Amino acid sequence: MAAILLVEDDPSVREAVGMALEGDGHRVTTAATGDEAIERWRQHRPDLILLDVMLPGKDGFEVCRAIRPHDQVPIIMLTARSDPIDVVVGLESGADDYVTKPFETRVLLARVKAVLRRQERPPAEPVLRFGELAIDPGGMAVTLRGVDLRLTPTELRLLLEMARRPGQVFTRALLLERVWDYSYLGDSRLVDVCVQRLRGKVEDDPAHPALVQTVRGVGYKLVPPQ
Amino acid sequence: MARLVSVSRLRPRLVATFALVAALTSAAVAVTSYYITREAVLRRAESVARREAEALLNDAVATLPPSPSRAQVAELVERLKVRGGAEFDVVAVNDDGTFETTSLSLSAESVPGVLTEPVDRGRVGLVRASAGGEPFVVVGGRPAGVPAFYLFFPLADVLEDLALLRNVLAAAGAAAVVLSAAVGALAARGVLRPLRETRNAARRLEVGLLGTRLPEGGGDEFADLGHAFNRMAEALETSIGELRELEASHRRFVADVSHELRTPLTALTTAADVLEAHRAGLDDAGSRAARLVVGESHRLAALVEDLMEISRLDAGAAPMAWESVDVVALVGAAVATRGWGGQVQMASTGEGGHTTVADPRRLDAIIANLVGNALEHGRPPVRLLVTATAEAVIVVVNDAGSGIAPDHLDRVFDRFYKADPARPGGRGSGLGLAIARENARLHGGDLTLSSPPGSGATFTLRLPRRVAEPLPPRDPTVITGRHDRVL
Repeated sequence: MAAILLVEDDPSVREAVGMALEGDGHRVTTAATGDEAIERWRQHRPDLILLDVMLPGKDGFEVCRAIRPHDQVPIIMLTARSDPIDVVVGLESGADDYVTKPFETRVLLARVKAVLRRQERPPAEPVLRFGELAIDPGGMAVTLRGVDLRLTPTELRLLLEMARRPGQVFTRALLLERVWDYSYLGDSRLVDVCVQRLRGKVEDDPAHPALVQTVRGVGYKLVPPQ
Repeated sequence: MARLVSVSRLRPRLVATFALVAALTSAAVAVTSYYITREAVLRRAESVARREAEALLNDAVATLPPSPSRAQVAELVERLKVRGGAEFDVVAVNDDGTFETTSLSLSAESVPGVLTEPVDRGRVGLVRASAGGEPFVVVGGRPAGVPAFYLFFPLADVLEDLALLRNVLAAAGAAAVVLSAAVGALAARGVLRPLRETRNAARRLEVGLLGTRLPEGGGDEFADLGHAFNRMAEALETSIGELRELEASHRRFVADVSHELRTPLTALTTAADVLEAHRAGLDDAGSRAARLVVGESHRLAALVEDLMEISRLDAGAAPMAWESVDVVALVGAAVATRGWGGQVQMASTGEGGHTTVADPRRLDAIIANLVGNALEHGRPPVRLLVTATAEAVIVVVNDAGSGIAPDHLDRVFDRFYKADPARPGGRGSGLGLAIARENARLHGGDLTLSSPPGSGATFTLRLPRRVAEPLPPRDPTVITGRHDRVL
């Protein structure tokens, strides 16, 4: 079970969601504002952050952008709107997944479980190399020319999924199922934004990706360097 | 199209009218002036002829002895010929019918019959006649005791001039007709341009460009028309603007209320789920109350979710996430995911596969709503058939219930409509079918209901077959920037 930081300004939602998470066996720390969230993150270094978008002071996106450079902790956005822009901005600022309010408790718990599962170390596998990029699945580390790229667990799972079968085309639906545990109708924007973030880290020129290539109308594939 | 036809017919009508007026006017002017000129010219020729003739006859009487011989007459005629030259010819007819003439082509036979009687009675007669195929003014007279003299003044030159005048007049008339037809065409364009502008402006208004106005310059009738048109457009814009504002504020209210409900609802449903987890520890009444709280809070959450969705659809703010979708696979997954597999009989027919470009979530929502409805309100077995044509993929959901009465058929898609008010309301929000139909229409398709007597309700979802994401439709309200985005 995990240490979870729950950031939510509404006290009732905070209390109810806190109870539900504790009922599922997690340890919960709460914060009501953006600044408090960053403070709690510094103190506790949680395993997972549940982050409301609408917060007094710093909003959820800003909190996400403040934490991301220092910590690869999984972040799930709680968005009151299913506004498409909200979701994309949240994912681009570094969130791993999102849940729309009002959510079903079992849906939230399932998302929490899926994100935490990505953090678990896979059984030791040989290091995969693509040119100067080295992926160590057991160590959950990806290095480019020896420098640690500090991928989030979601980015690492996404890269690993494609790296195990180089050249094979993965549909968004397949990646959603394998990486995010969405067995049915996941949001394909999760994949698209995560691929963008991944390219920003592993590609020499993210605008012209050489390694993680788009297959128009189908999905993505990893192309080993010649 | 009727307006277009009538406007384009106005041009030939105007041209024809102008040409006709020009033709009538120039014909009247030409005919009148021709005949006036002709009369004047001929009268002058006649009076010249008469004067000449009288002078000659006096001369003849003076120079001829009474009862002259034929030779004396012939001599006089010969003299007259010298005097007349090309101006006239002379025929002198003696009492015995013999005659003297200055021209080989004239004889006693050439004298017009109408002249002989007055001339024989001593009068000077004048007539226009033709002799030997040539036109003449013939003047005759018979002074006492001498033969009858007839002077033939040729009219050929005069008539030739008149013919020339006639031709000139005809040509001028024709030119006038052509010219006024051209003027008519120009005038038609002048009249039709504002008409066409008015028509185009009306069409722009029709498609919702309420800012459309006509130029009001000038002081003519078209400026009046433009002015009246613009007043109408302004009034229309104002009242439609007010209506839109009112409608938008209603929608915003629903959207805002739904939005504000989300936070307390999240707390409520989550707390209810916690309560549900602890229900086993409650006494009987507490447990029953907890069950109600859990059920109703989720029902409320679903209702708010549907209200949000219908608000987004109303506001045109429902984004489409187009993807290539195998409808048979999606329908199967939609049923299986919700655990309905055992209650639904599925089949598919049709050539060419069942793949089209659609929004899989919206499609899933439609199928879930239709099958959920059939399971709740109809009677099993619920049958689900996916068929395909070259143009469309069609999903038919049918149940074995008692069906829906004909007068309810159209209204089941209305918001919060209940086919049977006496029956306790279903668990749904009352918005499901309205949302499903809107979702179908977002795909460019439709959702219809039929319920033939003796069989259950049959919903037919028709999705046009696409190979690519459609271009966004041109929405006239967007062009004018009056698009209300509520969410």
